[in-house]
Amino acid sequence: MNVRAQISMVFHLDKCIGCHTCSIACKNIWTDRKGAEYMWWNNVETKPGTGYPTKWEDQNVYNGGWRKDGDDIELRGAGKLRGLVNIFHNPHLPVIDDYYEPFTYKYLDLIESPAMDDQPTARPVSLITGKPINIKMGPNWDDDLSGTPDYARKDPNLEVLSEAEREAMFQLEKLAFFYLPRICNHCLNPACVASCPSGAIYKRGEDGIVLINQKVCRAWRMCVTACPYKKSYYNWGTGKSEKCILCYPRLESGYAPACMHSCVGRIRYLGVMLYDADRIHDTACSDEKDLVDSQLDVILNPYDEEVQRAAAANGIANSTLKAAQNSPVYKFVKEWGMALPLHPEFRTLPMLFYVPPLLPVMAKLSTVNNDEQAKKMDERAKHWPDNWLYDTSTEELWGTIEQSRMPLKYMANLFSAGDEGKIVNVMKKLLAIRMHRRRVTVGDVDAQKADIMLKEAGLDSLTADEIYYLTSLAKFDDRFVIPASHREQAIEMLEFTGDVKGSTGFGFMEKPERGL
Amino acid sequence: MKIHLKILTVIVIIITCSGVQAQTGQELFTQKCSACHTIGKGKLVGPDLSGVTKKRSEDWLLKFISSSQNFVNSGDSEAKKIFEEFNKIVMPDPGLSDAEIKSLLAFIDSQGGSSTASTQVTMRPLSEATPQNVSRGESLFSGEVAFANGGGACVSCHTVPNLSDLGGGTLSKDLTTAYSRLSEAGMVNIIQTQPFPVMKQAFVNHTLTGEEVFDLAAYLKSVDENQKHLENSNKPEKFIYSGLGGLVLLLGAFAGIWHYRRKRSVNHSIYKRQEDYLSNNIFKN
Repeated sequence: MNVRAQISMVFHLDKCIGCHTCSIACKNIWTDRKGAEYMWWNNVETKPGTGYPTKWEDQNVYNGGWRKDGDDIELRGAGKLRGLVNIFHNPHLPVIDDYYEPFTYKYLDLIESPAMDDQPTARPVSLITGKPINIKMGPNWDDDLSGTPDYARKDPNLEVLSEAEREAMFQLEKLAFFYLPRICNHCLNPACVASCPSGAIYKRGEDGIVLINQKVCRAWRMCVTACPYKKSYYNWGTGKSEKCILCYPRLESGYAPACMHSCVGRIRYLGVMLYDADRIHDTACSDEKDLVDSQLDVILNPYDEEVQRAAAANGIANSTLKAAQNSPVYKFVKEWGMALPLHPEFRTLPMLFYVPPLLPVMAKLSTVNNDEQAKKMDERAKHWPDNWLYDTSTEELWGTIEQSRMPLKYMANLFSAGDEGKIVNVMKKLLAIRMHRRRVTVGDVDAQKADIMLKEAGLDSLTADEIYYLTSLAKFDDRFVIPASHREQAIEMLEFTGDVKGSTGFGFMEKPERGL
Repeated sequence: MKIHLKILTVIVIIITCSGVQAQTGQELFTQKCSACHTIGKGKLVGPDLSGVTKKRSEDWLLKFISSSQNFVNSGDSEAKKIFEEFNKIVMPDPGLSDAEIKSLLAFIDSQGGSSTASTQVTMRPLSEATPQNVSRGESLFSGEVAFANGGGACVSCHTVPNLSDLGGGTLSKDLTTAYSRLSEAGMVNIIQTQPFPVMKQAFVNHTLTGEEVFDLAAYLKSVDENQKHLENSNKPEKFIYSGLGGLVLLLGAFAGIWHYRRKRSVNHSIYKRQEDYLSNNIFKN
């Protein structure tokens, strides 16, 4: 057993309101620079939708991630031989049009405009060429556009659905969508690390954050191809690739990453989990149907004494162990089994987990005779000859899971490599907790029925309350359990701290460059 | 720069002066003409020159000798007739001044009926050549075996059929039919004395041995006899067409191999549909 610590995340999609505050927080801190304008280390997508970059999930286009090759796995579009052959021209690299051409507006035209008959306008200009452009695309161009032919219907996840199922999904009255915020998954088996010809990308041993060393990066851009989530970006200004750094300077100081800190819906949870590094390879090579289960198996129980001993032997600090025991992520992922990885079939073992959205059917269309009602209307009022009603007075408070507005098959394609059973399990839990809380707070639900539902979902009322608390009431310190990074220990490995006694702070100091 | 030009001019003058030497008509004839012409001993490569000064005017001869091709192209019917009569073999410009040509003509005139002035090589007749001679000649021609005194292989400038895949040089004459065009004596003479200016320059310090001349001549004779019917492999059209064909094949292979490679942005179809819609519906009126 080779125990290591991994800072991992849970995004609760039922709570995401799609406000993009996380994206803006990240943008303002990290990617508001020349060459990085088009990058969104954090972005929020509407599902069904094409996402950013367009169709990133379609690996027939981008050739990212791993592919099972006999008992082993290989990178689809990069790797030693394929990387060498394509090193000077990487055919699967996304181009700027696959993302979007970044733009700004000539705001000064508004201020400096002379007095005229008409309002001045601020024309859009490209942030790449500096010339006026027609904006054709943005990082969230498909926002809230479910059902549209250009975006929603081109979602690669719809390929598993039959034509009839798709049509049913996009009927006007049934149209639904949900939001999918994405950051780097800081995978256990990162394809970007494996693909880098320069060896510039590494996964930090102490917390599992995947980083690109900007001094070693030689801009081969193999990581951009290899990452199936397209979360590694090439900065054309610096000539280096960049990616989400999980705000490690903030984490090391005990703050939550900016996207999580700013999250309005409080959908994000962050905590440390222990995993067995020896089993990563076998897990990544397992059959598609076993992928999720074996990934969850790799995550170790921090209360297990054997694990604790192995962790201590591997130099994992007690504070980290304690953080792992209090980790909200561990609870969602392992204890409650409510969170699933996004696209586990890419075989990178992503360590960002999602609680899938319930999206229950809350009303149905029923046939009614509106004649009586029409007679009551003023004769001058417009008369609608319709005979249907958007009926919210269902007997069941929420419809069954099978009736969910988003087909289970679609959800399974996103979160469980096609295994609908796993989605059903999570949905049952979500529904049972709602029923249970409705019984407690409103009291219009049959107590026996709520209990049956909880039982079917494998929960008891105590656990349900606990889940409810962490879902709806959790405070900052409940949602973000950040282990101390013990930078002082790291520095002690390199130099004697007595030598720098009296100096300010710890860490690796670099003198700022001045002038041109 | 100016200094360089001056130095260059001086050098050029020195070289030209040293080249200009008063030469007698006989010397000139031996040096420049006798490879192809005789006086009173019959046709060789070119016509027998005995009595030529009586047959033609001095003016005509001056023009012909100083630059036969210019004269032929200028439309003189007599000159053209001679050119065609002798297999259209171009008489190289000897690079002589009018005065030198006049002294040359005076020599020919003085010889009357016949002259012994000649560089005729006395050599075994080529009918004695063995297959060994022919194969040695081929090796010498293609440069596989170097000439004893150095000197570039014939293949640098000349070609014959079936020499190699790439053929020989195209700078100078195709020698496939040299034997029948030039006759045995003429061909041997030309190989030996190199009357053509470029060829002469190339072999100025690298004279061919008698055996080498014999081998080459034997080879060229066998080429003439055996391969005259073959089409020369060194036609430039063939090279260009095979290159174009190869290019088409190569591009075809690329197109095949990378047929499924992504050629444009994923968003292309989205932009296209939207633009088409706008141009068909909104901007139409």
